[in-house]
Amino acid sequence: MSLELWFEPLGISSQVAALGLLECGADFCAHDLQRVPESERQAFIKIWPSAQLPVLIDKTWDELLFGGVVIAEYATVYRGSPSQLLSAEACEAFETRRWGRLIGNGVAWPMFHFSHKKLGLPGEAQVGDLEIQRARRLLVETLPVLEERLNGALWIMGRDFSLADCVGGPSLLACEAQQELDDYPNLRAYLDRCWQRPAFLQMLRLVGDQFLRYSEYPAEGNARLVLSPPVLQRMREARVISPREKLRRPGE
Amino acid sequence: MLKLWYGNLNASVRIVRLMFWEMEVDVAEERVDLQDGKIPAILERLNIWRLPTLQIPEAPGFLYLPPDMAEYLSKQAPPERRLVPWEAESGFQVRRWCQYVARLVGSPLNDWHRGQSTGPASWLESSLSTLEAKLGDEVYLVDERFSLADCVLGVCLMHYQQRVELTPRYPALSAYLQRLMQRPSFGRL
Repeated sequence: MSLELWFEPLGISSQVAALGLLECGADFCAHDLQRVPESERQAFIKIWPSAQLPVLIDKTWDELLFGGVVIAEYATVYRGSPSQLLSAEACEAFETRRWGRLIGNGVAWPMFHFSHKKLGLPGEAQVGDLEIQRARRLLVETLPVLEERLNGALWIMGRDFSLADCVGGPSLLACEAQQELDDYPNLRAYLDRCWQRPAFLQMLRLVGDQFLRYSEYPAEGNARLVLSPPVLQRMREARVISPREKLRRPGE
Repeated sequence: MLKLWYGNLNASVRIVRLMFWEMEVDVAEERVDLQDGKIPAILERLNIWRLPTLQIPEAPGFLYLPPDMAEYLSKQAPPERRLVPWEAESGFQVRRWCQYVARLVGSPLNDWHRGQSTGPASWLESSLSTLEAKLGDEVYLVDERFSLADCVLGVCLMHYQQRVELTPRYPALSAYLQRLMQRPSFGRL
């Protein structure tokens, strides 16, 4: 297969990349860097020493691309049909990317920090209290803007699903999973529509069992919350996670 | 009218100023001193704001992410001065290399500068080697024309060279930076 996606299943950026590829109908092979054989892991790190993810290797064009939105845009420009996720009209394309960046900066980035703090995952740097405060402020500022944007609109850019929704879907799923959307009915309705998209479910099936690995709710002792019970139930109903699969404690 | 609100003179502000000068855009500037706690009322009324912020005459009124500023200004500029091309493929390549440089060169340099690490990340050298190979004999980073990616990389290399000489390890990057420094906009930094 000419496309290889190296990703971190619980990472929003990785989910954005996967969703972009799936929405464009691109065939790719997904590798979880933490779960491949050690020899493959070392081979990857040799060509990508930072080990920051996601990364897409396109063997056809000898390209190595980094970043969720970059990969999603690459999929639409080079692998998708014209105007699939981005309008051909320059002004509208700019607005799509602008909303994508707003969501990435104001929702995905804060949720990334909350998750890393709660899960104690190694990150680019230790997540301190100041970073958490800043993340909280960003989220509180951005969610109302999105709520207003989606008042009467199907998708971020109106009628059609776009690159901005490739960022919006995974970012807001992370919010819903940690019960941040209780006061935002438009955002919850938007997420319901995301759940109806085949590509969104395919993306979740790529990562589903990793949610189980880290889920433990209600939190006990060292909080390691990833999914709230309603979201976990929805994943079981959508067969993203097997109904019979039991929660595993971290480390199992 | 365009107005830039900014705080500290950090890398983002330098990059944004390069954009204005390269695209020959007139922008008023106002420095905001957050130390004294006085936030201009016009910014306080915004749902989201940070520094630097560019005030623009049409919706959405304010842009606070440098890539947004670059694309907005490129919309207004004649084709030969656009720092972000409108064409899908070349525009993507500029955005893609901006992301690469910002995350894999700019971020570790910032961490090093702020004392969050005792030295640059071990993989910074790998990122610079990739850029060295990509640049090769070419004049600029993307499609042989000056772009936003060169603004971002230029500022990063200036930052890097404050601590470590680019030559002899990165001769192409060193020559590239010397070319950039010949540009009037870089001379104003």
